[in-house]
Amino acid sequence: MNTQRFWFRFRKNRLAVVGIFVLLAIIALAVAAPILAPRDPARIDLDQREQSPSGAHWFGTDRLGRDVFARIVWGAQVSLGVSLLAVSLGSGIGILLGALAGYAGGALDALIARAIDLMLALPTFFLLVAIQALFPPNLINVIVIIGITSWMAIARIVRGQFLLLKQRDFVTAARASGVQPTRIIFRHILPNVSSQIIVFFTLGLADAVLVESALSFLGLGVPPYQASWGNMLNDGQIGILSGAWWVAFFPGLLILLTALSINLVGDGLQESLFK
Amino acid sequence: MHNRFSMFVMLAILIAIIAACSPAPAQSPTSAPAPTKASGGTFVYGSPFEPSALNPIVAPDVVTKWILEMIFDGVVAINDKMEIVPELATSWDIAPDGKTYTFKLRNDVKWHDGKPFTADDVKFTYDTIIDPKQPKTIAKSDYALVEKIEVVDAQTVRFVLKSPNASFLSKLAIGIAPKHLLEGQEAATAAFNRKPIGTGAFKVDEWAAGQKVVLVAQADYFRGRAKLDKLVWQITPDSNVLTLQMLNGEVDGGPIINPKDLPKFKEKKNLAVYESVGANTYIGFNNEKEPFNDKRVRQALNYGLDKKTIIEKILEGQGVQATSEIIAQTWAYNPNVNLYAFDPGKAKAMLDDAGWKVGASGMREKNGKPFKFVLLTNSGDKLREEIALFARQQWKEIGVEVEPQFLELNTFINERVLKSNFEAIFLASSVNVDPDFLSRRWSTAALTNGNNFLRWANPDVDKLLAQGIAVTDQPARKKVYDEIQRIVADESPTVPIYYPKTLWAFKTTVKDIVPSPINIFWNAEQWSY
Amino acid sequence: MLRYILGRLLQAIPLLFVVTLTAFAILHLAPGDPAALLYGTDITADQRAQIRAAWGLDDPIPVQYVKWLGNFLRGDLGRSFSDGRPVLQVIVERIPATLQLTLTGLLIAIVLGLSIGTLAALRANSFIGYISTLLSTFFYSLPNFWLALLLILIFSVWLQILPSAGIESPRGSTGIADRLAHLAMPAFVISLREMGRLIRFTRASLLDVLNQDYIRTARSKGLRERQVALRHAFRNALIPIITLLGLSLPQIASSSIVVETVFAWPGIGRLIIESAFQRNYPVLMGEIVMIGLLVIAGNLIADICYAFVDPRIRYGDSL
Repeated sequence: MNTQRFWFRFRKNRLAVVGIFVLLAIIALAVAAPILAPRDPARIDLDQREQSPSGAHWFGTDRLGRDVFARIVWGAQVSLGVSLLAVSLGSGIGILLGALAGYAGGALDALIARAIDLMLALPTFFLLVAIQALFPPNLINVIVIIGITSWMAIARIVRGQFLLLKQRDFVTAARASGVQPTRIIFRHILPNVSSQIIVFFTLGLADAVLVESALSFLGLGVPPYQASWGNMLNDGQIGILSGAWWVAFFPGLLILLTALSINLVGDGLQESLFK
Repeated sequence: MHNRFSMFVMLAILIAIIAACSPAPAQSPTSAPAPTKASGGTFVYGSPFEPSALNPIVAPDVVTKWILEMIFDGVVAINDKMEIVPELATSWDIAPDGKTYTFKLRNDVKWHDGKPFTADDVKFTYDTIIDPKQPKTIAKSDYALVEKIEVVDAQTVRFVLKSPNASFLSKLAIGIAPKHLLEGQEAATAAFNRKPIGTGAFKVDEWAAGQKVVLVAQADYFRGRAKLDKLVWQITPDSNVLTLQMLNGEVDGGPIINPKDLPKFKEKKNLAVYESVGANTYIGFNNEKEPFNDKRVRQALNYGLDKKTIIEKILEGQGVQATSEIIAQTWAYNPNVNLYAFDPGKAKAMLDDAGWKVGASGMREKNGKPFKFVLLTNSGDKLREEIALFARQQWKEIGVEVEPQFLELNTFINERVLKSNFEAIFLASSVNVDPDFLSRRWSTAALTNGNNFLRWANPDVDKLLAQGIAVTDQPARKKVYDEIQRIVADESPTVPIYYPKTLWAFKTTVKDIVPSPINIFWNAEQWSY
Repeated sequence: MLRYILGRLLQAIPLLFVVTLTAFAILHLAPGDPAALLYGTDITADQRAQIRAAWGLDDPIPVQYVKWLGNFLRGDLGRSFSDGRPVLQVIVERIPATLQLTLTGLLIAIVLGLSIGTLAALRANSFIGYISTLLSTFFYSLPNFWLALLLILIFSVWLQILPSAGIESPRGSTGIADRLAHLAMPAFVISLREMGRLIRFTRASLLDVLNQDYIRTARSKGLRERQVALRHAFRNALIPIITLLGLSLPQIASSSIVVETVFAWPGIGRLIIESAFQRNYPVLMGEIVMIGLLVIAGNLIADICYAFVDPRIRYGDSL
């Protein structure tokens, strides 16, 4: 498919276009944090605590008088970065293992399929607590933890599709004419699976944003003095019922908007790529 | 078409199977409330916690002890003024050698199953606690000094100690367990622990796991039937939701977990707020480690932290500046110690004096090593996280770099605190009736077997701690403990920050609540509703 | 077919074995001493050592595992560290509440998810299509406990029409209406994410299939679009959807952890959180076995449904 036709179709999906604008705006927020954020996101000012949104503090201040807007903007870097890296890691592992299992079949397939089942049978939350106890929290750990607990779904779906597709004529033909297996996997079959992969990658990306918040809720990963949306949501939940709703509301909203726009863009991509 | 249908049929069957396997909702609504107008009615207490084993011999945690207080009675009890008062004992006599304690017991006490309570039960309870074959019992080391326990007659029991110990009486407030129901069993796993039989004002009627524990008044309680008919311990683990349930009146009372919510409770005309005091909350150093082995450094950090502002602005005034491990409600409390009023200038001068000079980066260093340390505390406690972050900012201003780390509670306590594997920790102490608990914290002996995890001891303090249990006369003891508190404050192995106010809100219709630092339920049989 | 199911069941046994082995290893390698956690800082090192010995925590980990496995094979899951009760009892009494919550949630999700998803695919470019796409994505993108708190804020604080938490009112249930009122918010929160996934996925899979050549052919033969979708597309689209449902069991279990905590729902999810934080190893192991069985069953059912729905996959023959 040529680029022109792709854009022509993508533009027709209005939700996806809106999604991409919102997503770009959020990315711009993250990139331009030093310019946009008027205040140090870590600066504690106990005389300014829990101020409601105003001209001075657009999104209000939190329990320690830190500027919520500044923390949102700086937190965008952390939250988006963590999610993107984690999902790339997870998808990489998933695609590789799924493709191998589905294409090779036999013992290798059985082994990988069991590994997938094993990982799925371990409740993720339990895994997180155990790992959290083993390692001191930091950013790299969060990325790796989300990565290694999120590859199974994509592996399973890739494997399923490979099982189907490898019996199709075009694969049989390629194999008969002596094409290298790696080439068959990556050039012939994988492109046909990419719609599924895109769906799962977007699902995974949005998921990762949510998992980051869950991890921070547990005190794992992003240290509390480093702003991330998950941390902020956690910080703000004590205020949401008793009046200071803005502390948790805005990070929650940003998480929602990010996940929403990523998913909408994913939909748009899928439709325009594979229609 | 056929396949699609079989697909749905399978799904339907699956759901049906799972549904069939699950019994109907935990309780069918048969036990609909039939309000008995006779007296007090049902009082619902909301708590984020579920009790563990309802057996005074094995229950280790504070919350369980609160409930146990209502179901069981001790030989003595601790009242709201932290005084030791008679409960199952009517009187006692301490022999002049300070080693023999003889208790006269009440003769009008019955277990919830109707059997009479006797001295055998007292002996059985403490023998079981001491029994090395029953390792999972509470605070064994507290009773290591007991040589033997003798039943003189059905209403008289005698404890003989290996050496005199002035703190012994305070250790006899543990609930007494029934011998006839527990003898020959492993206390920690007895089925008894789920539906216990005590001598107390309430007995357990129902325990719906994860949901509630229902206590009902025992008709023949020896001090008279409780005024309440029922006390429901309702479990709501999310503290926000619990707050809301309290504000909405879905429960009749409960703890105010975040002091910031206090104004909301005060606004409610139908709610009354009660307060008591909690244990010292402090930042402790690893006193054997560089640079904290230098008294000047510890003192400088103490001067560099604005404890007043923490109390006023982070705790919203719901706390009192702490002086030491000993709370102001006990007789041993000494208010006249150095409080280290916030003075960053003095802090800086002392650090200079100790050889920690401001380097090129603006932070302090000595022999090329920057003054940098990790402050550990548990995650999940917002107040602690906030105070740790505030300390980081304040100490940064005197040139000290602090990195707060928040660890999951279990890891924090077991891997770091108890193993002294830290530079500095932010933690709360516990509320104790007798000041002798300090010997577990600050003695040289406690460095090897005890809880001197802050690794600070001092020969003078060792001597004083020994004196503190050798004399039984309270004014004489007070002098000793006053001096200990003065020395510890001066040496500053910790920065004591605050005694939190512990807050509760109850509906105004609930009467006669008298909070105590140990246990708000200590007089629950008096409550009316 | 029967042989295939039996074969898979047999395969499940070593799988469960590996699951328990891995879980046991992670648990016991993680630092944290249950004795110290339960008894706090107020007991001495000696006493802690005694408790550890009594719980068998001082044996080498392989020995501990073999003991655990031996007991497990005899049907004994051990006793809870926190209250000394048999693990099986501790877990079983929490199951009804969780089933009630998750099945209600799943049922809502399946019924609404499949219908909205199908609708969204058929009307891909209409207004309804847009709305249902947006809605599904919205559901799926909502952070779980944020949503729970907002719902409580709206329905319990502002409108005051639903109880904020619990499985029944603190004074005892007043009947089915009371139960439903307590079930409404948590079941809704649990269902939304799954519903969002199902709408998205049903729609995506249907569109995929609708665009394949044989469907186009069918369409070009003049069959009505509706018929095309139902007769040809839906059956093929079911494969990935079934996979998703099979996979959603642990997902729902994870959601239930958060939802049960926020809504004070006395189920398995909360038990998991409590026992993990207490390092209550026997209860945790029991839960892992249970969830492992559940997931294996979910996968098995998904695989069997695969075989039923898609005759192109014939297990045992082609592999």
